[in-house]
Amino acid sequence: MKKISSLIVLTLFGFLLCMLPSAATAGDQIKIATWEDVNTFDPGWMTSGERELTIMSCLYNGLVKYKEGSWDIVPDLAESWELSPDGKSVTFKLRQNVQFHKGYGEMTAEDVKFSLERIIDPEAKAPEQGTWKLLEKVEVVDNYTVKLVLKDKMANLFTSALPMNGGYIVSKKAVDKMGREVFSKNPIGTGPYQLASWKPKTHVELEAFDGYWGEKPKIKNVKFLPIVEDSTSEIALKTGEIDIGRAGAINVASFKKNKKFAVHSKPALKTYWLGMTVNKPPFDNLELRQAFRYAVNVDNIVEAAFYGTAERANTILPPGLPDHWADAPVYKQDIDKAKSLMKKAGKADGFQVHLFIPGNDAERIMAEVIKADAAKAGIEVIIEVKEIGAFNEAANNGQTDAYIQFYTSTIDPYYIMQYFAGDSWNPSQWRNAEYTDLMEKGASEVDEKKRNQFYVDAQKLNDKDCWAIWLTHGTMVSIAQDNVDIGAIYPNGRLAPWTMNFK
Amino acid sequence: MLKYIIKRALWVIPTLLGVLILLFGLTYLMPGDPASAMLGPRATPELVAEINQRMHLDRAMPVRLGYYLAGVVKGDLGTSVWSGHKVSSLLAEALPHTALLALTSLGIAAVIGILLGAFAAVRRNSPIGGCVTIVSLLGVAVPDFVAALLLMLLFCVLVPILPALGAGTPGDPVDILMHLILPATALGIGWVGYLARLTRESMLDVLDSDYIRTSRAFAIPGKTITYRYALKNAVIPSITVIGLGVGKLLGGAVFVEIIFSRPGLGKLIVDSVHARDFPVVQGGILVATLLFVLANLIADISYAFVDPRIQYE
Amino acid sequence: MNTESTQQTEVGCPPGQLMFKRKWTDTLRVTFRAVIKVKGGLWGGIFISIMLICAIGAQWIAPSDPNAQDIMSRFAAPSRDHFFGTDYLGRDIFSRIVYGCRIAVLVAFGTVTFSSVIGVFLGVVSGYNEGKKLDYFIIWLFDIIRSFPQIILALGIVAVLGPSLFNVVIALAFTAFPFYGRIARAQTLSVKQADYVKAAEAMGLKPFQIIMRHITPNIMAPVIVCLGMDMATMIVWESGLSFLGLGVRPPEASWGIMLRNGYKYMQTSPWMLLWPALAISLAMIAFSLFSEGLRVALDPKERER
Repeated sequence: MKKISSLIVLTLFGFLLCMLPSAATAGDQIKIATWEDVNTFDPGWMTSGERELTIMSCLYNGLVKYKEGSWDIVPDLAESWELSPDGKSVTFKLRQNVQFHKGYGEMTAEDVKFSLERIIDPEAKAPEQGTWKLLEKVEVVDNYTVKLVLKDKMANLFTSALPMNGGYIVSKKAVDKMGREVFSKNPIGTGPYQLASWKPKTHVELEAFDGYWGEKPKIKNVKFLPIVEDSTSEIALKTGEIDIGRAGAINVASFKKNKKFAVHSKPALKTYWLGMTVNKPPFDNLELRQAFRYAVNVDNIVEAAFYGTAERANTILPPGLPDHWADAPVYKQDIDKAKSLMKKAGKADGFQVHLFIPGNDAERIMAEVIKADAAKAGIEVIIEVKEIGAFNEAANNGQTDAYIQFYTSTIDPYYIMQYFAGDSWNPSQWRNAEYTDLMEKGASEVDEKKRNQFYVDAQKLNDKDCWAIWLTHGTMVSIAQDNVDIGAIYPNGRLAPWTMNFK
Repeated sequence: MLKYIIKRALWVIPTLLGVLILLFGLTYLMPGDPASAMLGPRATPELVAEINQRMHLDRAMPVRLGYYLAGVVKGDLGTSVWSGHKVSSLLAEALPHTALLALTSLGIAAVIGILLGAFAAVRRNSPIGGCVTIVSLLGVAVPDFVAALLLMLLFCVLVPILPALGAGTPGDPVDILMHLILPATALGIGWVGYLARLTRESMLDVLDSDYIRTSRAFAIPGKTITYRYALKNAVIPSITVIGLGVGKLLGGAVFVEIIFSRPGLGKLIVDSVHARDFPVVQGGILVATLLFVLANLIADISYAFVDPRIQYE
Repeated sequence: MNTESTQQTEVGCPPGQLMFKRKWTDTLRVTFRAVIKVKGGLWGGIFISIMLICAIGAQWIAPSDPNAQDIMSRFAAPSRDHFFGTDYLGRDIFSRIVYGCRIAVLVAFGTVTFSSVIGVFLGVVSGYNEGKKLDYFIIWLFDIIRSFPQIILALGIVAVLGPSLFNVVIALAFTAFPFYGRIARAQTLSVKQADYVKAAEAMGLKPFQIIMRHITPNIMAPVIVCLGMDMATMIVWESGLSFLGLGVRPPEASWGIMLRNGYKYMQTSPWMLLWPALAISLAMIAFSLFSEGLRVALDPKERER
């Protein structure tokens, strides 16, 4: 009986070993850790500029692109372009003989028209619509010439519309054939890599596209592994299971000292803030908001969560962007001031705040420090940890008293700032007519100086109404094994896998 | 006895119906809406509405229950909100990893545990007895996820010799086995002590029983008695316990898979809980429960065969 | 182990021993005395007492506030100032372990109280109404919940209710009560044949009175044995859920949360992982020794061996 059962067990064991799907041979493969899995591969419906954009940039090309490692705009699928004198139309000459992945044929002006118009189509409700608000239509002049007709001058056309995901060109034939839903899991672009396989929560595997029109990538196979925990990524780096990963802020220094790794650290183009919901107590009172701002110690919060790897933020836009408000006031902790403001507001005995955060490490540490700081001023902070979906929902519906959130930015300020002029993704429920007006004006103003002033004024309004306590812009750290040439890295830390190589 | 077996097997049907209703109730009550989890920071009301309609989230509760039950019967567990993949195919991909892990840890634990227990019973006053006590205490004292963390600290951080991530390259048995060592040890460690103790106790009972004494009187060699006759009978309680322990193994696998990032059933469930991927959570718990129910059924029936003293209500 | 058959064979109501009528307090006192006499039981009792003392007197025992942060001295190694070192916010780990006892004890006693009261009540009602519709319904209810792997069901429930100490207790109690129910039902079936129950029925007592006064007190022995082991399990599961981020809220000093933090920083300061692991292990040993003691104390066959 024992023999039989052990036989059964052994057979089962062997059977299971065989059942695991056999895979492509590793060989020329690079493994990159990402912090979460992707939702979609459809550029027009991208949900996260952090997780998905790197992968999409391998799959697709735009008419223009940011030159690898910088924010310079260089031709990509367009060879040249011409701006009309009134600035309300642009004509692009397209590159010829550009092939789509997996036999979907040559890329033509029709595909460009289709890719951009599917986003501005009011029926489609694409999330990128805001970016392309000023695009009227796209005209096909001939097979390789296409004309963008604008409603007004479009300030962000070349800075954050064309080279970003909203400007990526998809195959018309593929979308028509599959439908948008299927296409979003089976992307067809013209990029250096095509999708080999996607196992949710396990990996996204890309393979070099043989028919790529440009310089072929040196590494044939790129595997993205969603690794949620920093510590897991650290261990996987040390055991050599991944080639490029990240580390918790505390351990970055030790990786820097370790000769087996190269640490690449860039200030990230994102903004963390401690937001207050302004349409309900306690933070419908400006004085209490200001009191809260004086009660917390931003330097301490940032130091605790980022261990000296990130700077504190004083306004929504990261420094380095042309529209950054350089003279933004730097608020230091001042418990007495906080208390006197509370007294003025009639809350001398303190009050309660429900602080909502998603479960990520950085936010959690920040919240714990905020709780301790606020207690000194007599403000009781109750931390509510929500998983990301529930958090976003609670925050966006104004169910929080306070929350910690971050948004990613592009080099165009409109991208991140317009959320607070609208109804969706405006978690503080803050409405300010003047701010909305400034956003509208900024969108169609091409004069750098004037535009600059609009956005700085808008940032002053944020400060005056005090709906947010700006925390940090974060850092983007990539750690590579020493045999990896990580290639070009954009100024916000985004990787360009097609420029990578093994040494 | 046949009557008992049939009754026992038929009882599974109403139980499973209850399980399905409870599962449906759980996800029905789940807070938040999956659409915003799915769409992230770019959700628009129209996209949300579209998803709600596709998942029947806009229907009344009984209608949704109906859809759910009908789907399960047809083997359709829905599609993942997160990835758009079929839940059934996600589960099919995850299940072998968990099964392999559970089977390996249980196999190792059974061999070590039963042998250790048998030795301890045969040499009653030798240090092996103390060994069993210590191992079983260790098994109780170090829960599987704590064991997993400590093993990871030892063999991945302090002395990095074993892989810490994933289930290995598919198609490469050596790599897969390397990736199995730590998780399987973590999951199996509690069972070694438990099975050792169980075997020792039942072995002691058996060794004191009349038929063993009789065979001694017939001058059959001691080793034959011990291992041919006594152990065979002493193993019985362990076998049934292993069957019933599937639930505990599946539970432990949740933690071990999370810690070692193994793409198994447990990790799938927890990831989906965090992503509020209702259909996958539902499907994952359902499959884990089905496995458990099946294991229980087999254990009960085999127990009925093995131990005729059992009462059949 | 939550397996019905082993519990019944291991625990089994010793015939003749507890079949006569007893008061609650008698059962408890006799049990406790017997446990102390068993070697392991004594040690278990001592450990549990220490935990209880830590839980009740945390504010006097802990050298500092468990949530007092000191960013300048974070990740400090164990020293005279901080016996167990400090964590990523410079909080004193020793104090947090001591306060962690409070959560562990709350969870252990909370869940076990909830689940045993509900479970025993339903089990006795079901056993008393053997063969009736109510009996089948309750068995069905038990079997549904017992069909789930316990921790996976608890995980699902916490996902619905949201992470908090109270919800963890509710979720764990919900998954555990049928096990008490099964034991209580099986015991009731034998106890209700006893003469004093028959006598009570003949005297015209209402079923509720019979259940409360005559049946329940006499079926408690195996339930109590189960309690001890269950408390250990519950402490582990609370830690596990907190470890997964589905347990108590973060600033609170739960051993599970501390484990999670230790896991995050295991390269920098391994002691952040080791102390809570040690605390959990000690609690496990304590409760299992104690429940082992209970088992031996309540089972005359075992006492002879």
